[in-house]
Amino acid sequence: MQNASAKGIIIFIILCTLIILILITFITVIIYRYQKKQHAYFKELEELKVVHQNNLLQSQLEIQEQTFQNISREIHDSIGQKLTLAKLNLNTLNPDQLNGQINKVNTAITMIGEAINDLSDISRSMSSELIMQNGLIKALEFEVAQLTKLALYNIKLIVTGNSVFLDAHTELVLFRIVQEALNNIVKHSSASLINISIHFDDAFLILKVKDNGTGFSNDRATENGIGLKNMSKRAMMLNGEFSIDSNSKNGTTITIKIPIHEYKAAV
Amino acid sequence: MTRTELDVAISISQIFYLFSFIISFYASRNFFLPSYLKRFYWYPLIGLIVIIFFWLNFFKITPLYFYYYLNRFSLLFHYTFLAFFIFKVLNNHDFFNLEKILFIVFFIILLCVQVYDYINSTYNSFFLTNTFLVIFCINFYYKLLNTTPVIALKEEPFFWIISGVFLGMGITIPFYAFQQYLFQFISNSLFYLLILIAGVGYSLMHIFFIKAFLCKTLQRKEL
Repeated sequence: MQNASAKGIIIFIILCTLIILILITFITVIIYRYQKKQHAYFKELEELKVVHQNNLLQSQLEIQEQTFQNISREIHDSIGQKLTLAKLNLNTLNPDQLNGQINKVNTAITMIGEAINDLSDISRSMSSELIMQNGLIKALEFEVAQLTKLALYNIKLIVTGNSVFLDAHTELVLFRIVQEALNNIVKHSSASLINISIHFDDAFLILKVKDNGTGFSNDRATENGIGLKNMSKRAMMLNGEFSIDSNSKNGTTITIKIPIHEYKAAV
Repeated sequence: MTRTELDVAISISQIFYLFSFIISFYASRNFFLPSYLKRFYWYPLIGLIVIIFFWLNFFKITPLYFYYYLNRFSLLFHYTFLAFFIFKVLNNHDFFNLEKILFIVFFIILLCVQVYDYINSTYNSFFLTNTFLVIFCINFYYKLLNTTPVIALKEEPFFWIISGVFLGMGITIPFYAFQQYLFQFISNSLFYLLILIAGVGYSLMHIFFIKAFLCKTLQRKEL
């Protein structure tokens, strides 16, 4: 009788344990499934956020580009024309009636001529037409030529690998990155040597802008912050990688690596 | 197991009711407590009152019939309170929805069992009540898995409370379902052990309630 009772107790304990285990397993499965679903949901949300940010950035860049176009057109059509007219007027002056002021007039004509050229260069630099028509390399060559004119920098542009045509938008974004980098060098680096290199391999385009300037500390990085952030965002928009290596001995090297197969231009 | 051992074990398990009441009553003063938890302390409080009268009846201080009716009332309260708690969490504002219709149908069944099945009504009522509550819990889990998963489940008090109800009630269902059958075939000592399951089930439920009131979300809000 006692044996039967002991056996009954054992069965009872096993059954109870089993029921508790089943119920706990049920709750655990619910938690597990919920968290799995939650993980997928947050991942999807994150992806949507990235897409949204990219769209936002794209819109910002389009607006910026449009602004550049407007300024460029304004310089070319309005200020440029007025200066040209002023130069023409000065040229038509009769030297006999200038009472020895001819040198001053000539200097004014030269200065106005230079201003017209400078404005023309700025206008071309801002305009995306140059890059749309001639491509990234030509546009960069133009930028290099502009900087060389200043006679402050020894600047080189090196293109290696099998170059491919990228779509106009991608080339424009890359061009703006280089412009931003060059702008930073001119403003902050005190460099004398600038190397721009573009290397095409099978899968990637690697763009480097290197200078021998003073580099920047964390404080300077904040100063350059918006520019650096813009470059990084632009690289991110092309699904690329953006990195900066900067120190006071070797200057600054900015590297952008983008996958080219996504952006090859349709031939 | 002897009757005395059972009584001791049951009284130990009843300590959790007391803790559950103290914590929920203390938490009710938290201004940021979700509305569905504000008056939750009534549930363990009614449980405690029933326990007090159980012992008063045990020592023959109050008449048996008084405890008997109180127990029946507490059963209806237990069912109504927890069912409405689940409905409130589900936050369905429709005046009549499937859950509420089911609640009314189950309530009528419970009343009928209590009135017409006078002899076996206690265990049958417990079985039905707990089964109905488990059904509502499963419905809650189903809806939980079909909503946008934005909450940190392990830090949500309602999840612990409903899981406590599900676990506590789920454990007792087999015992209440087969108690009449078992009573005929098993020894008294084993039957007492089976009664203890109910105590374990309710204790587990109250442990989950305590856990719910100790959730980080409530603590953070309190600060």
